[in-house]
Amino acid sequence: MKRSLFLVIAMLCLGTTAVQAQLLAVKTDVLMDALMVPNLNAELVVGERSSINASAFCSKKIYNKDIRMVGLMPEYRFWMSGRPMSREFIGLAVMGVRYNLTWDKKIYNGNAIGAGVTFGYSFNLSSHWDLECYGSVGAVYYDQKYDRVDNKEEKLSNRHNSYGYSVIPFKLGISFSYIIK
Amino acid sequence: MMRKKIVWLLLLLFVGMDVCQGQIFGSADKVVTIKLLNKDEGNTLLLEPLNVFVFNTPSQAYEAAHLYDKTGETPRFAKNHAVSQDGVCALAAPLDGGIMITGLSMEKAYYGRINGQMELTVSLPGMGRTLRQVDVTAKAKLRPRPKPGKRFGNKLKFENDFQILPQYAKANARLVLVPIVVECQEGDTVAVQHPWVVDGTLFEMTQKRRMGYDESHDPLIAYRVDKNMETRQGMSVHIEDSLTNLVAGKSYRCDIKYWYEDYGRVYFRDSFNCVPCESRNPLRFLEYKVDSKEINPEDYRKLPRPELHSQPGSLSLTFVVGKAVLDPADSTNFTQLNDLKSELSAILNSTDGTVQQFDILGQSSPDGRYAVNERLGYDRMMFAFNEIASIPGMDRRNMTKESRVADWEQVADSLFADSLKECAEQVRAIIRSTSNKDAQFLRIAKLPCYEKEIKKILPRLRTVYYQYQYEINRAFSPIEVLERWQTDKDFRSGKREFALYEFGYLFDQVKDPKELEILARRAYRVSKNMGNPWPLAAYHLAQCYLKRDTCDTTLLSPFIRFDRIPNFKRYGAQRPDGTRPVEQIINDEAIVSTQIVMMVKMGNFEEGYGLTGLLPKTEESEKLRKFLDCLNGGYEDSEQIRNYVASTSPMNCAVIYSAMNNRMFDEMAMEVLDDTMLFPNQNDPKILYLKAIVSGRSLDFVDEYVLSEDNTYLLECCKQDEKYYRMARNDGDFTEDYRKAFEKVWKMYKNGELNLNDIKF
Repeated sequence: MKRSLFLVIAMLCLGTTAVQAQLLAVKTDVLMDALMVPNLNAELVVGERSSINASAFCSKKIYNKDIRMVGLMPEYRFWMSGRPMSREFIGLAVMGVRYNLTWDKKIYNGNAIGAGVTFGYSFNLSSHWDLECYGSVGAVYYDQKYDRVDNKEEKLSNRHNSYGYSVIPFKLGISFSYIIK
Repeated sequence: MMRKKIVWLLLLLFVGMDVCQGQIFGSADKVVTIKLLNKDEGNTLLLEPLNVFVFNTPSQAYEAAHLYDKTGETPRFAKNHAVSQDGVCALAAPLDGGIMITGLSMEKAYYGRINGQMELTVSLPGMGRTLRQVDVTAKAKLRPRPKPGKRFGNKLKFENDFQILPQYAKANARLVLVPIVVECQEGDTVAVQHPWVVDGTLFEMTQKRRMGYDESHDPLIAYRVDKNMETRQGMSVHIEDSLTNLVAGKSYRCDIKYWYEDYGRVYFRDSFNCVPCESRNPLRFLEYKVDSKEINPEDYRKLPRPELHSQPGSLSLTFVVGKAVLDPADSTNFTQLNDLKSELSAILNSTDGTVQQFDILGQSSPDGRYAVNERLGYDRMMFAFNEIASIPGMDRRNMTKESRVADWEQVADSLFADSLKECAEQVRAIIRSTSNKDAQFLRIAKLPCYEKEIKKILPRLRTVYYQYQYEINRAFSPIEVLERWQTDKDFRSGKREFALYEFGYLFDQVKDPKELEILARRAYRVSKNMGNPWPLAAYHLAQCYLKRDTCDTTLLSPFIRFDRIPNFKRYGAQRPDGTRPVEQIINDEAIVSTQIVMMVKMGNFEEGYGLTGLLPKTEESEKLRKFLDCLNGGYEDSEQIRNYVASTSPMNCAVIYSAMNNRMFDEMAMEVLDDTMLFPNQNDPKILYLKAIVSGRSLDFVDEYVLSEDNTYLLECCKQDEKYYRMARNDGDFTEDYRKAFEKVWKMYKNGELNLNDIKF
C-alpha cells in the first residue's frame, strides 16, 4: 500500500513538472450552469493532437427538485485537426457519479460508472477563449436504491435494490473555456 | 498607213485607260458590307470569330490565300477586320479589290473578288460544323506575371504581387513563399532569399496551443507578413526583396516556390517565375564621374631606422717568407691596408655609423712544416688584426679572429684551374696516399712541377680575409634608393627587401604602373607581416588595381571605420619637444574616396553610398553622395535626389524621368528627348534607345509591323550600333512581346527583307 502511494506521488510530481510547458484551460459547461449544476472542467494538452479533460460537477437542487449528485468525468481527447483545442475532436470519457434524486415520484439513490465516446467541435474565439460543443454516448452501469416517493409504509431499505446497464447520452454540453497558458 | 497608225494609237489609248481606271479607282476605298453565311446552317450566326483581309487586287487575295493554306501565315500588310458574331462586317475596300477570309475551323482560306459590289454575301462551306455549347469549369491556377527586376550595379531589386486564390486559402492554413535566385546562363542557384509567410487567423492563433510550442524557436515567425490569409477574392501578398553582390554582366531570375499547409499536411505546392532574366537597368545611361583624392604621402612617411649592412672583402697581403711581416717590395700591400683603414675610419668617424662586427681570417701556405705554418698563419692574422684594431674608435670586443693553414687540396684546385691537370692529379694522389701534412709536403716538394708550377701558386694562399658589418643611422636619399631599385638585382627580384621608408621614396619616384604595383604589393606584404598594414602601400596598390580595372575592397577596409569621423587622427605619446606625432589616420579622405571608386566599379552602390558619410562635408562630396544615392535606387523615393540628378545634364534628366516608369514621367522624358535644343543630334543611339523604351510603354499592341513602321526608334538605334540590339534583348524595360517582335524585325532587317520603301497599304 505504501509502495503504491509512493508511486502515485512520484507520478504526480513528474506530471507537475511537465505541466509547466503545456497548455492548460479551465472551462465551464453553460448548459449545466443553466440547470444550476455547478461544474468545473480543466483541460491539459498532452501531445500534438492529444489532451486530457477532467470535469467535476455537483448539485443539490435543480429548480427546486431534489436532485443531489456529485460526479467526475475524465476524458481523453484526440484532436483531428492536428492542433489541440481547435476544431473537431473525438474523445473517450469515463464517468463516475453518486446521486440521490427524486424524479417523477420516484427516488433514485446510488452510484453509476460508465464509459463513452465523445464528439465535439471547438470554436477558437480568441487566443484565450474557446467555445466547445460536444455530446457523448456511452454505457453506464448503475447500482442504486429505487423506490416510490408515496411508499410510506415501507421504509426505504439501505440495501441497493436496482442495478443494470444502460446506454445513454451521458454528456451533452456547450462550454466556454479560458486558456490560462 | 496613216489610218493604221491612228487605229493603233486609239487601241493603245483604250487599253491604257482601262489600266489607269483600275489603278485610279483601285486606290479609292468604298465602304463594303460583307455578309457571311454559314452554308450548312443557312444563317449568319457564326460560331467562331473570323478574319476578313482586304487586298487591292483579287490576285493578291489569291496569293495570300494560297500562302495561308500552305504555311498558315497571314498577310502582314493587308488590312484585317474582325467579324462580329452576327456575321456582318463593314469595311473600307477598293471596289475592284479582293478579300480573303480565314477562320479556325475553316479547312481552307476563302478568297474572292469584290467586283464593284457595295454589298457582298459569302457562303462559307467550312463553317458547317457546329459545336454544342460546353461549359467548362476549371479552377484557375493563376500565377503572377513575371515582373522584371531592377539592377542597380551589383544589386537586383525585385517585387511582385502574389495573389492568394480563395480555393486554396483557409483560416487554419499557412502560406510559405520562398524566392530562389538563379543565374540565367548556367542555371546555378545563387541564393535562397528569406521566405514570406502568411498565416490564416486560426493558424496563427492555434500555433500557440501546440504542445511545448515556443514562438521564439519558430524560424518562420520572423518572416510572417503583417496580415492574415483571407478567403476573399483578390487578396495578395506583396513580395519585395533585393540581392547584392551579383556579378556584373550576368543575368539572374527569381523563381518562387510556394506551398499551402494546414495543421497536418501540405495540401498544395507549386512554383512560378517571379522575376525574368531580363531585368531593367534604368540608370545605365546616367552620366557621372567618381574620382579619388590624391593621398598625402607625408602623412604616412616612415622614419628611417638604423639598419645593419654587411661588407665582405679580402686582403691579398704578401708577407716575407717565413715571417709575419709585409713584403716591403710589394706596394699593393700598403695600398690595400690603407684603403680598408680609411673605409672603416669613415664609418667610425661618421655621426650616424658604427662598425658592429669585424671578422678576420689569416691564412698561410702549406709549404714547410705544418706546425710552423700554423704559427705563421696566426702571426700574420695578428699582424692584420693589430693594424685594424689600431684605427681610432675600433672596438676590439667586436672583432673576431681566426687563422688556418691552406691545405694541399686548395693547391691542387688552383693547378687544375690553371689547366695544369697532370700536376694537380699528382698532388691529389699524394693527398690520398697519406694524411700526414708534413709527409704530404715532403713528397709534393719532390714533384717535377713543384719548382715551376706549384711555387707560383703558394703566394696566393698567403692572405688575410675579412668581413665586417656596420650600422648606419641615416636615411638613404631617394636617389640612392631609386638607384638600388634600378641596379641591384637582389632588390628587384625581392631577394632583399627595402625598408618601409625606402618604399615610400620609391612610390614618389617610380612612374611605371607595373613597377609601382610590384613595389606597392611588396611594401603592403612587408607591413602586413609586421602586423601593421601600411595605408600608403595599400593606397598605391589600390590605385594600381583601379588603373587596370581590378578591384579589391579588402585592401583599404582596415583603414576605414564607420564609428570614426572623417580624417580621424590618433596621436602617439608626447615627444620631448612637446609635439605629439600622428600614429594613425582613420578615414583618410584619399583612402575613403579610393574605396568608393572601387565600390562603384564593382557596382556596389549601396556600400559606396554608405562610405560617402565618411567624407568631409564639401560640395563635391555632397554631389557624390546624391549620385550614389540615386544609383542605389534612391531616386524612386526622394524627389530631392531626382531633381538634383536631373538638373546635372539633359541626358541625366531624360534617364531619371524614363527610369521612373510611369505615364507622367514618360511624357516628361519624351518631351526632353524630343527637344532639339537639348539634344541636337536626334540620331544618337542613346537618345533613340531611350525613346524606344519610353514610347514602347505606351503601346497597346506590339508586333513586327509596329516596330518596323510606326515605332522605329529601336530599329534605327540598333542599325547605328549593334551593341544596342544585344542590350535590348536582355532589357526588362521592353516587354516580352516587344522583344519577340523586335527579334523578328531585326532578323528581317539582317536578311534584307525589311525595306520600308516597298511597303504599300
